[in-house]
Amino acid sequence: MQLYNIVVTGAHAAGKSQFIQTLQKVEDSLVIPQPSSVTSFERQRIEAPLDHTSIFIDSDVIVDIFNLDGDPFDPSSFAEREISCLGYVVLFNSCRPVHFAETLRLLHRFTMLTNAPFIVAATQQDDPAAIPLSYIRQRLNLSEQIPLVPCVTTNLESVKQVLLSLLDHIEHQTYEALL
Amino acid sequence: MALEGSLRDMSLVDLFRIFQLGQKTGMLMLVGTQERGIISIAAGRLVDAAIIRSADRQVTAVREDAILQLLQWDDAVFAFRHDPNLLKRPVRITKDSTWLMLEGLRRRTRPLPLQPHQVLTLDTPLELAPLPDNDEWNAGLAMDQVRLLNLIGVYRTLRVFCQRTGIIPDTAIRLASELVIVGLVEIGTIDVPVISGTPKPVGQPDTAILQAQPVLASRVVAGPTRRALPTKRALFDAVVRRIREL
Repeated sequence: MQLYNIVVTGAHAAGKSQFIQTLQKVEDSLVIPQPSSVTSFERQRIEAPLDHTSIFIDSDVIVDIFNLDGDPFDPSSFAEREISCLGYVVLFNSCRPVHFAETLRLLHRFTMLTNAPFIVAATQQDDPAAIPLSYIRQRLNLSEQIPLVPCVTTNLESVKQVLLSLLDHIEHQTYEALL
Repeated sequence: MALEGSLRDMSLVDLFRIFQLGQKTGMLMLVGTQERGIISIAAGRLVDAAIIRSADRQVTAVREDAILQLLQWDDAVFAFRHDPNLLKRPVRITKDSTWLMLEGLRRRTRPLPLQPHQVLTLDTPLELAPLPDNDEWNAGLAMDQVRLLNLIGVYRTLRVFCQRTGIIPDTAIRLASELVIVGLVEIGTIDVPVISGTPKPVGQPDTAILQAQPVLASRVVAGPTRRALPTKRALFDAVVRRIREL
């Protein structure tokens, strides 16, 4: 069995758990592999009480979407998952300016730890009081190459769009690497 | 949920810029140690304001005067709530927001603490931002700021600006910082270290990264192993398809 990871991280109360839970609500995305088909290590990962959901791709491939707490950030907890990390999503709560500093720290820590592609998703963008994306990009010092997408973590379509944006970005970066 | 925080995380000037950028409508409440401030915003425009002394609930300042005093506050918590009813509220503040911000900055006894993205050096590339529609804002500019606005598009950096105009660097940085804070000048992208998707690898050999990203690996590996590409490509497409189907 092949396991790939997508990591979801962000400051405290950025919406990581809700993001995962919205995916978990999709009944057919929850896959509990047969114990015989996975190694003990894989089973441990799948059954770990960590906030995560598993998306079944085919009989041999699972994409695990993990909530990796950024506060406090434990680099070793990421190191284990980086082995098969496709990319990561950094969530930022658009109604909490206090998150700017923590999210900046998190972005720097991750970019030091891994070359995996990432995108930033601004949660609470359905709130009319939310900070506009252009200001968030400026404060987080994000280059134009990094996608910054709106996200409503309670809305499945919105969560899907975030994941698809990450996959698009992974694909785009791969082409860039070839040029 | 409201937009909530502290002026230490986001200054009042930044909040005003957000209201303009997002054409926000609602009420901003600020709570300081001894006073409270209330600002009404309609479609991004400041329409009314007041400062109330907490002890006896006396109004101590209103309209432009209240805004200019609130712009001196550094330590207060705030909450902004959307309220479409404020669109019907009569406009009691006639001065332009940019003018008020510039005037508020000018009156400050100590400089506004800059956020990391607002810190300038002599070599920071600068660009002229889209200017406000009306002409009221430029009445708040100092003469050297007008020169800076006129010339920054040509000189691009404060170092060249200082060389050509004779303005001392510290003064130029202060004047330009104010223009950046109120959004009349933007920091350019050339030579600015920004977070990008291709950071330098630290403590992780490239080969491990390629193993970690099967899609990436499938495209950069050449030669005999290239046979794996269709499989990897198919796998990637399957992941995309599966997520679309959720």
